[in-house]
Amino acid sequence: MNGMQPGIIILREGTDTSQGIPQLVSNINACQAVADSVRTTLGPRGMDKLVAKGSRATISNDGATIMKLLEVAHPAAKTLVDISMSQDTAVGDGTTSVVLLAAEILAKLKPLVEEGISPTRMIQTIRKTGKYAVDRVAELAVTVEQEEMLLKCAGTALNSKLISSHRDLFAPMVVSAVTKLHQAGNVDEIMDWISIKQIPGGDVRQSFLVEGVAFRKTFSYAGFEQMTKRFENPKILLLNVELELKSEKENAEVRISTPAEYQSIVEAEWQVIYDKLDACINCGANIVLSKLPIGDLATQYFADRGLFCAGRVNDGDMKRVAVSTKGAVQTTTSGLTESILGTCGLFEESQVGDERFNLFTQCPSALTCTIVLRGGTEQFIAESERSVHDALMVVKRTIQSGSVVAGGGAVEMCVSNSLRRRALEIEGKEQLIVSAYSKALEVIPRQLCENAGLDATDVLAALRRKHRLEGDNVCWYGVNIEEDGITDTFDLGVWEPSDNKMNSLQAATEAACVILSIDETVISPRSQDPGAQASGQMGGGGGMSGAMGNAMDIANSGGARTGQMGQGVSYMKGRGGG
Amino acid sequence: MLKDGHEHFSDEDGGGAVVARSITAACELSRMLSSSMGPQGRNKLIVNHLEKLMVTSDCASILKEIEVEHPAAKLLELAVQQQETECGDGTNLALMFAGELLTSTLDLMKTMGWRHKTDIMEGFHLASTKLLNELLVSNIDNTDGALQELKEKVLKPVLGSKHYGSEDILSDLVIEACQIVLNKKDMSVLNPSSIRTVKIMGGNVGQSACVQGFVAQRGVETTIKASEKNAKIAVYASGVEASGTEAKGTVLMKTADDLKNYNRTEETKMEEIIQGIAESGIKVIVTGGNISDMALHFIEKYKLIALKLSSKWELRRLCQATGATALVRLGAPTPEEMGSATTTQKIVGGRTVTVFENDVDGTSKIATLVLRASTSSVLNDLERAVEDGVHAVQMACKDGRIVYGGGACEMECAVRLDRLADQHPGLEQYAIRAFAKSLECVSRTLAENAGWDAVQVLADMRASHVNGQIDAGVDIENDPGSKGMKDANVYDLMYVKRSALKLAIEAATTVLKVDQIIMSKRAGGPKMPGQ
Repeated sequence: MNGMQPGIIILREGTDTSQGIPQLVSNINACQAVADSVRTTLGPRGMDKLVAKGSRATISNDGATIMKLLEVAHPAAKTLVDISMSQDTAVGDGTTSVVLLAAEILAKLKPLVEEGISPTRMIQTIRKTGKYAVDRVAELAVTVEQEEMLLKCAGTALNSKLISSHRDLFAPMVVSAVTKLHQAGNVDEIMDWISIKQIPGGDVRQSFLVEGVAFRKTFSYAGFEQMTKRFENPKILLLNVELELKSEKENAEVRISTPAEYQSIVEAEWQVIYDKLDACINCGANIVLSKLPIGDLATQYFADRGLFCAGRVNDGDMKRVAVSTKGAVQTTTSGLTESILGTCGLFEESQVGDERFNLFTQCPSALTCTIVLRGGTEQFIAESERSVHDALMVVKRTIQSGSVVAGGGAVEMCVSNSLRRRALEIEGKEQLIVSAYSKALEVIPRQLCENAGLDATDVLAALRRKHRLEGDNVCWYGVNIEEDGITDTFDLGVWEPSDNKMNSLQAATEAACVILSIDETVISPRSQDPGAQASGQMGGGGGMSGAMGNAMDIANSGGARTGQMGQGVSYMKGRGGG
Repeated sequence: MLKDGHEHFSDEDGGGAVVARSITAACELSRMLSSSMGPQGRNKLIVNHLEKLMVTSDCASILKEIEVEHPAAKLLELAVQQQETECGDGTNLALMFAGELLTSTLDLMKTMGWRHKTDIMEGFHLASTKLLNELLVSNIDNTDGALQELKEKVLKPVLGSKHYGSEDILSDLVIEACQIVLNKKDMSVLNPSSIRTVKIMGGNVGQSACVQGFVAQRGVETTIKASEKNAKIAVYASGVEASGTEAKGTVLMKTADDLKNYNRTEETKMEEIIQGIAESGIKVIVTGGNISDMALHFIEKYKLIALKLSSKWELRRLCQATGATALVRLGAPTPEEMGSATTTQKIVGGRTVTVFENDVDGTSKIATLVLRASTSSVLNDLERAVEDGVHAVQMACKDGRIVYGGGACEMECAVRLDRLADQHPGLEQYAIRAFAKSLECVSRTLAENAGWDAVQVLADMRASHVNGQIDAGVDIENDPGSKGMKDANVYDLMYVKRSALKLAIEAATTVLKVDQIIMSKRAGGPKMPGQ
């Protein structure tokens, strides 16, 4: 870091020639603080966080969810939130580990920064090393028989969540949901087609998978209870039409000249709604669903004729019904034909907890599934939903990547081992940087141990030794959380999709590079925030006004101006980033 | 003399105090940004007044956000802005050279005495004329090959200085995009706005791609997600819905039949319209407005694809990409008004996008780069890098003359100016020498940012240049020292460099010419404390 001062000859009093370093260190510290807040959630023995925001409390173990709720304010540390989010959208799981990795890489490089190795060198080397690590994971990845692979990956993903003790229930559920969609070629839009419904009450074990569509009984009018609640092979009509008696259009006005006409208008209005209802019945439908309300008149009318109807079905549910029953949503009741009707093997209304559900099962197209979650409290179910969501994403990812690596810190140790060996062959400062990176990877097994209450030092030493002895051979020894020690986690069935790991390594490396590349922080005040002016003058006072001297006084005389920067800019270079 | 509240400062004391202060302020700005120069330049983290976070090393973007207020520093900022609009690159060079020139002037004035200011200015004038008119041109590398090769030579250094490590991937993408949009007849015209970027979080830079055509960042509205190859497209600027009248109107009904038919007619009308569109061969409907439920129903019925694009700009780009004309009335377009493209809805990294690919040769005037990175700040930085890259290609198309990069060209000019100074009698000699020395700042900053000992690198380079190796530049990768830029394939566009240096010199001389600053009382501003 001899190079931050490009030869300006006028050196002002007390110019700090090592300006970048304290700023960088402060950024690194901020990142570590953020990582520390999610650190304890990693792995099967990870603890949950309760984040209270206003009156809403969220209990979660999911890195991305916590990071989102934390509202990190430090500008550099926001980068970590970013990568956690991007891991969430791209992979859906591993959000905690990506944050930990990035922060640990930075932490391990911090002493080197303080020693004065140029950050630009580091960035270069870290980029190269990151690429090597990713390649190494790709090399290590194993392809196995699909079903087993999916089950185990789902199990591993669920392992670290609140519902880990019920993974024997959820893993097959998740896998069968995703494989169904995959066979139908629809795996990309997985979250659109798999819906997760929460029903508070009951026991987690009462959660179930519906192969088809299920949604909560919608708001209903009198007459609902007289309807038939069970059909086999029904014809289903999907509408986006309001079936209620009401004025047709706001901008229409009726002017009549004789009282006799009045009656005809009233009748016409009734006629309009009856026409619509008849159209629905005449097309042969047994079940009528509408996105818009179905009024009491219509409900009664349908009930009398042995039909079932539900209004105000939400958009996503309607889409899913349309897809799985192969029906088409109609916006008008004219021109209804047989071909737009959907069908399914069985429709029934059933009681789940204290909610009533409409279930459409044995559908002609297996494009949708619904997972119904049960559980004691609202927070518990919300967290279960997040866990199931993560598991779904992991299974999807596994199908796409087609290969797995062993979890439990095994793959990290393996990559770390080859990096360490590689580092020793490198000449110069790069050696230190590569070994720092390799050491940083150990954070995953170490944190797993710590969260599980094991002696991390012992376990890590054992792991390092094991991997070292294996040399370049593939070695899947990782942390054994159950029995305190190390074990072959691949045999144990702790598998993760290789794409997931590769993505975390890439994202963590990129984030570390971004943080390292920052040597200066400039914060402008919010435009509507006059209060910031005071802090700006303070910041300017330390940073620049000394150099400006009278020139700045001149500038100041023009009004509320503060030095070169806009008013209230707090300028942080070489000082603590707040 | 002056109205109350005005403030003025002048050189009454004869000490050049105003110049000195202006220079200090301007230098402060350039010093701040010098660490962002070159491939190894560091980033700045900026939180602007809207609390938007950006991490960048792009000089123009930084200046835009940090709100420079000091009048003298502002002059430099204006020069940078000018450079940005004119060339789109070389902004840091302009700022740094101006700062460096001012610094050496201040030094010179202190040693020579303030009264020699005119001599110094005269010397600068001589040196800059020589530099801009003769030396830069004499530095041109004549071995320029095909346009393709030329682009690669200048593109990589540009992208490298913005996003080091990804320049290979990015330069391929940028060249691919440029080739799509380059006018086949007139190769010298490239419109940068016809290359769009779409940023998608997740993945890494290597997963970025170039699409010939248009990418909309939202999914289609219909159940059909992909069209056949080169399907016909109709673009409507208006919404696809029953249009309401501007004037407030009321439908008057006389009889019960009117009421019954009222809704029916609306339905039939819409069906007629959609049917007409479908029958004209259109497969895809894109609208700038809303699609009513009724319209969507018929669109589904006739098995069309519909997409909403709310931005007018996007709609215009789409028209360019597909060759369609945006219609304001709802109805079947004429064959000339139709566009064609292969429309597909895809999911990229968790985001749903609709891709309009137009591979019919010569019809697409739009190329879209889909950029991927794991954080939004990297994405934004990539976008800026691509923009600069496209500008570089644009400039290369306009004026293909190139000079050696990596500080080599500046060093060569410095060496030659030194010789000129030696021959020059009179006080201007000092100014020319100071000018030459200022040129070295490029090499020095590059070396410093790379983490080298700048003094050593500079000595090495200078020796090579005096010995006639004109392509010796800073080796930022391997060892502290110099290497041949010709082998390393690092070139800069002469035009960009010339413009940057010219603007820098102009800005610096403007600052130097100031001997008095008068600032009016800001209208309505709060009174400053202590006045």
